[in-house]
Amino acid sequence: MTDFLAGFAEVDYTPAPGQALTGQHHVRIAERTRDPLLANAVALRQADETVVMVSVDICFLPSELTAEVQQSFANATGVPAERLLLHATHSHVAPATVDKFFGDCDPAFVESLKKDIQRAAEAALARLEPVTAFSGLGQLDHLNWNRRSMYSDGSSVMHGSGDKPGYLGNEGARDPNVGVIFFRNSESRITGVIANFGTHPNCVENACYYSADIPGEVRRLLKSMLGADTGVVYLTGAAGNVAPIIHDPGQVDQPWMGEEGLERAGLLLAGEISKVIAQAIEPIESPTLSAKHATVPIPIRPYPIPGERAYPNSWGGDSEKFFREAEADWPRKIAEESPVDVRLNVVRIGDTVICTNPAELFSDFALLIRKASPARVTLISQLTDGYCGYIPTRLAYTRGGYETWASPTSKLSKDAGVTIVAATTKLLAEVLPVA
Amino acid sequence: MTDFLAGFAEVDFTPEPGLKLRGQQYERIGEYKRDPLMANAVAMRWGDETVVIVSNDVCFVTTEFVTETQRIFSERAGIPAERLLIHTTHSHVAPAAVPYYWAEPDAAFIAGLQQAIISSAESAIAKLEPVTVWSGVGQLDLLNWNRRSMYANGASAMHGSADRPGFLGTEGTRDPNLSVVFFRNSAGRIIGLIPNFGTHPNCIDNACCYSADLPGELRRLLKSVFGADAGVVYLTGAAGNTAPIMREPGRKEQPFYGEEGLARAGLYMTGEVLKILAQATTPIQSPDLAFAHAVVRIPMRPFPEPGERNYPDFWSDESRAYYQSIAADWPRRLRDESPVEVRVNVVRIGDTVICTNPAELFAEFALEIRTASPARVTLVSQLTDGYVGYVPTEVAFTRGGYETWPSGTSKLVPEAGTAMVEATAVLMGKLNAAQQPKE
Repeated sequence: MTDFLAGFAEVDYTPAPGQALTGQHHVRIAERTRDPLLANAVALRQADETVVMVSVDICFLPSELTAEVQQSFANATGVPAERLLLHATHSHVAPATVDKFFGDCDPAFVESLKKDIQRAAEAALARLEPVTAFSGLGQLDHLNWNRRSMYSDGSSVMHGSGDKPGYLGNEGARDPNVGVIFFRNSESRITGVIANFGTHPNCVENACYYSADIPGEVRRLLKSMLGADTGVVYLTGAAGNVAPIIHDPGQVDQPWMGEEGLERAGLLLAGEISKVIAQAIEPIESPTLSAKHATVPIPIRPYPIPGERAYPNSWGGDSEKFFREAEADWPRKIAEESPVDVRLNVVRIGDTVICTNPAELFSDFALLIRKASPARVTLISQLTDGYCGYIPTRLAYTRGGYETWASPTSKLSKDAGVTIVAATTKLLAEVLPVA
Repeated sequence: MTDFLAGFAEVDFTPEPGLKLRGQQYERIGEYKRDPLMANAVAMRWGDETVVIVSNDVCFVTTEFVTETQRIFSERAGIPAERLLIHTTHSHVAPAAVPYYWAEPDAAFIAGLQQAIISSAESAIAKLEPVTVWSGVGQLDLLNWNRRSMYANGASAMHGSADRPGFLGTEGTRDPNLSVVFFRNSAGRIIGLIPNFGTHPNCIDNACCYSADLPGELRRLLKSVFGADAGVVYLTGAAGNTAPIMREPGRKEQPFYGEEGLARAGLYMTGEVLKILAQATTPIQSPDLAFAHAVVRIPMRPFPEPGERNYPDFWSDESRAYYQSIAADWPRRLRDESPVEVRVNVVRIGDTVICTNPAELFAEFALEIRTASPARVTLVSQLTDGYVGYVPTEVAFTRGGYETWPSGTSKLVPEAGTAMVEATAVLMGKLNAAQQPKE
């Protein structure tokens, strides 16, 4: 046993049915609860350093919300605000946390959510106990196909059909890595697992109910095997351009979508996590805990000119209204909100790191962060500490498609991804200097 | 939903502590119950064909026991005796079910085991319901290392140290395939699984307790996922020369051995089973059920001359006495027991086959069966329908080592493995397994 402490806790924040759901370009109201929405927290402590991460089953957490919870947590516990990292798993079947995202949020719900997140963080702190830390990497061949279809006319389209004339294939990469950190207590029991995989975790994204979707299914399965009191903190990796949807020519069925697909996806991911845990035989040596934080100001990009590939198209109706309102508001956004403070963190546990950013990051950048990382095991957690929208590649901007269309979900300069990678690399060097 | 029916059942046959255990070459008593010993049954029916497989958490059972159990079952159920396949998972921490130098079986236990097998088979038949059938193959990089160490002096030794001078590596191969057949009922729920992997499933083989060992841990975890009433019929694959023990120079720890190793091994194998289930996205098309059975007569080999590599060595005075008693009895056995009737079965479910044999089969032969198999998914189940001992490769006989020493656990001619592969291939051909791309 080391002087490393860890504690896990979870708080069920599922509201009563009736909340607007965020994640699709049409209005949906939750009619029931399919499975609980949780705030899952892990607290880590070694010597004077404490880091708490809370993974919340929600589409995204706006920066103002995360800042407020962090400050309140700091006031209550004395732990510095930036040591509380708040992650959104990106469920598309969870309540809205902002207005005008195809439905408005319920202020009472948002207030309650803030309290529940803080409660989970504090409960995890209260459960700190000596542990040995382990980590490992696995890989998946499924579940995160690149969702941007390229066509011979120079365009790319989110979920574009592989059967459309001129289809050339997928535009970009995928990150197959499944990163896992887990902790054993003095009785060698696994007290909690941090699991990380880069895909839109959205098998039931169009439904009108509350669900944690893939992270919830992974949690349910891992708890079945490891014990109901085992913590599971799922961190969605860089998933801006990947999803559990296959776009091969001739593909008719989507075996990883819908209720059956969710069951499959859970089994596949939980299966790989189980294998990673089984193969992590030696604990992390000298599990030093350290964390570094940076705030990188990144400008909002100019609104595209009609005719440019990245000029918003829409799917009509509510979607059309969404983009036109965004266009009208763009000059104000640039004047008042640019540059955007993008908050990055690297948490080191010995030879393992967790790199966070608040973007819907394209997986190409995750691969660059992995390449730059000196760590044996690297976890990349998007949508952490706020929300700054999609971060596509430069290539993607030249080809257009949903993720590149200027709106509240995509606003930063075209260099943002490279900037995030560079800043993360700098933090990595600070927390884990190469000998 | 198809007209294919399946049903699962299990019966706990764990006796009270105090019985002698089978699996190691010294006397051990089961002092407590670590986890239950079960007879796990799956019944399958399609049209007029019915096949029942019962997997039992014991080291092995005699061919006579199998025959008698099948006869009783057949009389009661009206199903041909050979349609009940009796498999033993090869736990080394279960009561002896076969007479042995270190452990005579307990008559009451044997009777209880027989009752459990028949009862589980009958219950599985009673639970037959319409299902869709699915299958797939995964691979494991760990858990079944070849356990025969080769040395420069021409010898091989079971679990021989890799740090001994002249260590050349492991003698043979391993079969990495983990195959699974599983069944969903009309509600889409998984009602049972048949996982198959070739390794000595013995993470705690030296313990003095009752345990199903690795198959039990796999069962526990899969039931935690799919529900306590989900059936898990584990079939140990060709494992005569493989075990969850690594042989690398300098290696001190065995991470898949002992209590912690058992937890790891169970989690590791369960993880791969879950992945196979997830990736099986379409059920077996036209899952007809067919069965073929053969009895192959294979001679016992002569007792080797002193100085031959496969002349028995021993680890203790007891071990010496054991092999001396074997040598003294060998002429009688050759006269009374040779040739040995080796029962070979193939069960076909659409494009998937389960090939069984009663040996502790070397992994090389499992790979040959896979090569010969026209099926998309092939399961190879050893220690099924009796017990004929280790079936090593011809190379192994030239290098010696435990598995090649004549005894109650190794008696057939060196050509036995090839004969069993050929007989299995003929049965597969007879069943005309669908020509599907192999996974």
